[in-house]
Amino acid sequence: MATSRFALPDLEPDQRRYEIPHDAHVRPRKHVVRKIVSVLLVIVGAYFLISVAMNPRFHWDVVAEYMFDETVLSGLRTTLLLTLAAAVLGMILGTIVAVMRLSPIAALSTPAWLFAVFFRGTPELVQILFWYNIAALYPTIFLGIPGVFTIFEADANALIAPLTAGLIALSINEAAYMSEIIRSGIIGISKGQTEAAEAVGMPPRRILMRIILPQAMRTIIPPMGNEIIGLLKATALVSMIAIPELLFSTQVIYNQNLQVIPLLIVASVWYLVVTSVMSVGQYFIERHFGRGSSSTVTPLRVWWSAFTRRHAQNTSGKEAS
Amino acid sequence: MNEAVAPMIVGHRVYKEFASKPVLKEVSFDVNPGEIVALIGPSGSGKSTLLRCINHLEQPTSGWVSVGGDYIGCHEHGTTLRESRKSAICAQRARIGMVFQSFNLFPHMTALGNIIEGPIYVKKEQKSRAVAYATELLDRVGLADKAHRYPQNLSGGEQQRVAIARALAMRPEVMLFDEPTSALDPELVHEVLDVIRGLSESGMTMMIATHEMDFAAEVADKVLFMENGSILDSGTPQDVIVNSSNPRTRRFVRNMSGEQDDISFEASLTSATGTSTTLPLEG
Repeated sequence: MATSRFALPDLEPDQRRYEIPHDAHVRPRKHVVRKIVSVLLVIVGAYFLISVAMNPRFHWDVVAEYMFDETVLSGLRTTLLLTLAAAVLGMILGTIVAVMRLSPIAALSTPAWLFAVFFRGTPELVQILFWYNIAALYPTIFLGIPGVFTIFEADANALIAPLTAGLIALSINEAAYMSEIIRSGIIGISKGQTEAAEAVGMPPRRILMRIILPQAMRTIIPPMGNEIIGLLKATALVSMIAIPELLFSTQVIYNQNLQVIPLLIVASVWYLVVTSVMSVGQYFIERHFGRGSSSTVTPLRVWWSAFTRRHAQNTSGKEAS
Repeated sequence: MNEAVAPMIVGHRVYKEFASKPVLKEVSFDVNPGEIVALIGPSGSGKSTLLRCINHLEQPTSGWVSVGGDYIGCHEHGTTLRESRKSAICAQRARIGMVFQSFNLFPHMTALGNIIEGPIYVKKEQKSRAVAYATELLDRVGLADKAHRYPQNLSGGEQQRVAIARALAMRPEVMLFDEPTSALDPELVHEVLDVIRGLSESGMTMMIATHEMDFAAEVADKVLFMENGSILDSGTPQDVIVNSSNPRTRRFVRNMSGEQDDISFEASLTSATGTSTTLPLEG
């Protein structure tokens, strides 16, 4: 019989057994280094926060003064509106493009592919300027796939309005990215799901809406959350075409009072507030579509469990009966 | 069987190839109403493909299948057959129940949700009516208490029983079972077979692809032995499973039922194929 190199040749099996106390329980590691590093990080963080709060050149008083300024709030409303509209339009168009891209019919998949290539392959700012100046090229503008569906159709005069140009640019750009996210989500669903639905007699569109997309949502939501947060920040780009959104509004103010940094802080705080609220929303949406699987462990929960000596638990809505 | 009865399922020279590799070689068969047909044969013999052609999950390359007198996936046009619309095919599928080897329950719906999906959205039944029938079916498959569980929280055997209830909820004329117990732990096999056995007593027309020889012999009225895309042997369980005149069938049945010790299994594989493709023992 060949001896394994993992065997303990010096000890007889009986001897080996006596090396270990019978009442042994495994003591968890103390993680000393981990604790020291955590404490250091907290100190460094606190120091940084204090320096920011105490530095008079941040002009926190000016920040406070303009936080709820009417111009700023109206800019915030425009930003939220643009984000919401572009996200909804982008999602609808993106879903259509994704489904077209997956079609076995080349006449559908090819334009969908070209759409993604073109609008992902050019800078968003260039696209915004392009739509803003489109009246120079075409007297009427048609958005959609000609003859298949129409999303938007208007004459150029209507489009000269910067807000419309900005919205179109953001929506289409968003749709290009969304289509890829949705497509990857759809591809991830097993063929058996489609077959089971087909076997019951469900028509293709019903299968997509009831079986495939709800399951694909689980993998679609996290990147889509990132995408919408990215979209919110991308709305700052349309300040270039003088749309009075959040950034532009603060620019209007600091061009008058020259308090550049405090007003940029005002804008940043508002962006941060909105993206944070969105992240919370994303968590709940993820939990909703995660029925029957997956877990969500946030950094906050890891910290909490470290202090309370509990392990991060799987808290997905598992028993949603 | 009564000669005058029109067959429920007819396959006429069904030929199917994938990437120009034939998997069904002009298979013809018929199944009478209320008849239970077991499909046996080695993996890759075409049993699944044959079943999938019946509800048009696969379109035969040539030949046709009919269920209840209707051509599946096509219709008569003069003297030829033409491919039907998607909606017509969906309507036909609604009359054919299918149970898959891997269950394929919808994981984002509860057991009850899985069952009422078809009746509500395909047959446009009222929800209360669909739920009532689904509850009755769950009771029949012994899962009345698990209606609100998600598939993830059901055992394999329970999932498969829900899948059977889901197929039955459409009140199909025909049930197709594609190796319904092959993905199950051995000790869960019986609970699914019990449900199918119960169904067989209700007079449902069924085709069952299975590796459970004893079950096939017990339940089936007719057994088809398939290999390499052809039906090699067919007849009563007595003629095919118990005492076939075909030596190849006898060998297959002997290997499948009972003494499945490794040595005889290996030996039979090599002798059956006549080559050493099974195990690369000599490097």
